Amino acid sequence: MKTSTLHIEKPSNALLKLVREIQADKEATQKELKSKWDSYFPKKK
Amino acid sequence: MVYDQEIPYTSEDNVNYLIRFSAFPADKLPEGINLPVVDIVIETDADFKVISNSRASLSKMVNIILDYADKNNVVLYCYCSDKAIKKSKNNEEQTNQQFRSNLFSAMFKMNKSEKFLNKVVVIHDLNAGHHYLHLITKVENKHVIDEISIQLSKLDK
Repeated sequence: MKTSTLHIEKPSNALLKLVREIQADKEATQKELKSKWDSYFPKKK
Repeated sequence: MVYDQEIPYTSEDNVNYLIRFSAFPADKLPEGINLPVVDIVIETDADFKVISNSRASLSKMVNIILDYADKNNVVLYCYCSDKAIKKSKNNEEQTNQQFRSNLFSAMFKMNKSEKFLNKVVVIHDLNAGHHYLHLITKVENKHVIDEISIQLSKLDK
């Protein structure tokens, strides 16, 4: 698989706001997934 | 939504993972992006500070993600978390996000397929730490990755 990299060295405030929102969304999603854990991976008795 | 999906996976090392695919809101996408953009989140109940995975386990996870990308004509993106993660001494200098990004790229390099592209976007942030995102899509959708890169570059001062 070909990989390339783009650096945004001086992001605008709008981009920083967006990426921080994405970061917060990811953290919220991870918490939500944790709450569903037992339905996907039931504990063995 | 049609692109939203959760896939549970238990590795041969007996580590549970839940991989979630969810569509990025179309109204937040810049103009000219004519493919759905889908977020990937990988969660585990194992402690990232001690977890280690076999090559086979990582490869299986990559296959789940690429299988999704193959069946759905989309651009996948993954934001690398800054949560603590186990790093070897050689990698201690890297931030958690940078290390995760390098690990993510290494995982995908294991897949020898020429069918997909991986674009890493590093957004410098002196206050909160640099952000690392990955964009993955089929080679035939390279123009969409290029367009996203152009749009992002416009937000570089």
